[in-house]
Amino acid sequence: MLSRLLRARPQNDTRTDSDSTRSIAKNRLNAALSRDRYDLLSPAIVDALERDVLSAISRHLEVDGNFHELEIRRRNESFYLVAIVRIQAIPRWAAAS
Amino acid sequence: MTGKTIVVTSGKGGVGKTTTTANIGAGLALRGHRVVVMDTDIGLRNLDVVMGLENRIVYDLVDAVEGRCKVTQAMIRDRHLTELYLIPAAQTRDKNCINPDQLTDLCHQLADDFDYIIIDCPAGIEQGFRNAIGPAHEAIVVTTPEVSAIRDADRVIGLLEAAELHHPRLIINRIRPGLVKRGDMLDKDDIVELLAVDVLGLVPADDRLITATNQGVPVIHDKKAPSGMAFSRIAARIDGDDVPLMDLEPKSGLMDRVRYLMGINRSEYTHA
Repeated sequence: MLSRLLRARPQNDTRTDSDSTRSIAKNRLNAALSRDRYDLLSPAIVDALERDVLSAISRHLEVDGNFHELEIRRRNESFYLVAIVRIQAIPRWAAAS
Repeated sequence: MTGKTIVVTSGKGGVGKTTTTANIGAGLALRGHRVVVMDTDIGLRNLDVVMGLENRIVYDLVDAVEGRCKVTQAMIRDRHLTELYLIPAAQTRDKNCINPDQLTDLCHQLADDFDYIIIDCPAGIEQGFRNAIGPAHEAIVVTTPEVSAIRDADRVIGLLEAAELHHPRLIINRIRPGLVKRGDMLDKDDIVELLAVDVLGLVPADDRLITATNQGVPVIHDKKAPSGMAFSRIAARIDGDDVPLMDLEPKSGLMDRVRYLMGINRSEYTHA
């Protein structure tokens, strides 16, 4: 009985860092802050990103200047930039010599 | 004289904005500056009671903004420091009765006469927040090492940056070094990693702050109070001094160990 009680006491000294409530708090906050920032993502930022990505692509490929799709998506705890662009033509200079 | 306007904000309520404003104001005045602290929490004023000036209010911020009195008539001189003044909030009105432009005009007037204008921002991110950050040149964000306060701080930092108040500086309030040491409280480095901002100061949880506030005296006047020492260092940093951040350490004397084991954390720290 006594030994059970003793064993049931929290073992603060032997606790590893990943078990501490501090690291639980940190991990939860990390996820919550990312999600908040994603939910509040400004359309102006997405527009600017769209412009910049298009201009970068068009330096290498001929594209029609519109995204079929450009989105920042959340999946589980991670975020992905998804861009689908129709290529109008692959320029000759893009071929391997 | 062209004074600097600094807003003290947090998002979440109850993390110590008003106490921080009072102590920063007193700290800068102790350093010889002319300082005015302004309560913009219209409808829920509190900076007056924290500073022990609640019985001296005749005119308030809204009276000054709406021209019912001169700005100087709405300023109340501090009981301890002759160069520190309070402009109290109105208690009978609400946040929508003033706008950021009016407050900015008022602060421009005050800047001719004062070195620092410290604005105590209301909790929340609505009109009261918009009013308070309108005139500010710099922003201080107060948080505590708790998930709710840190989350709200992140939101507020985003809004400050969107309002072109770049590089807000963070005060982490009510740190309990004993809890940090045993891994049950987020520490400074965790919070900096999450929020990615510069730290202006670390303030330990301190019973002496409570007893000082009970008496309407900013704790910075209590020379033995660890939180008061922390606020002095914060005031020095705001004033441009290069004061290093000090880690808060739990005391480790025998009696403190006994108190700690008994769950009494009357004096958990050695440094501010």
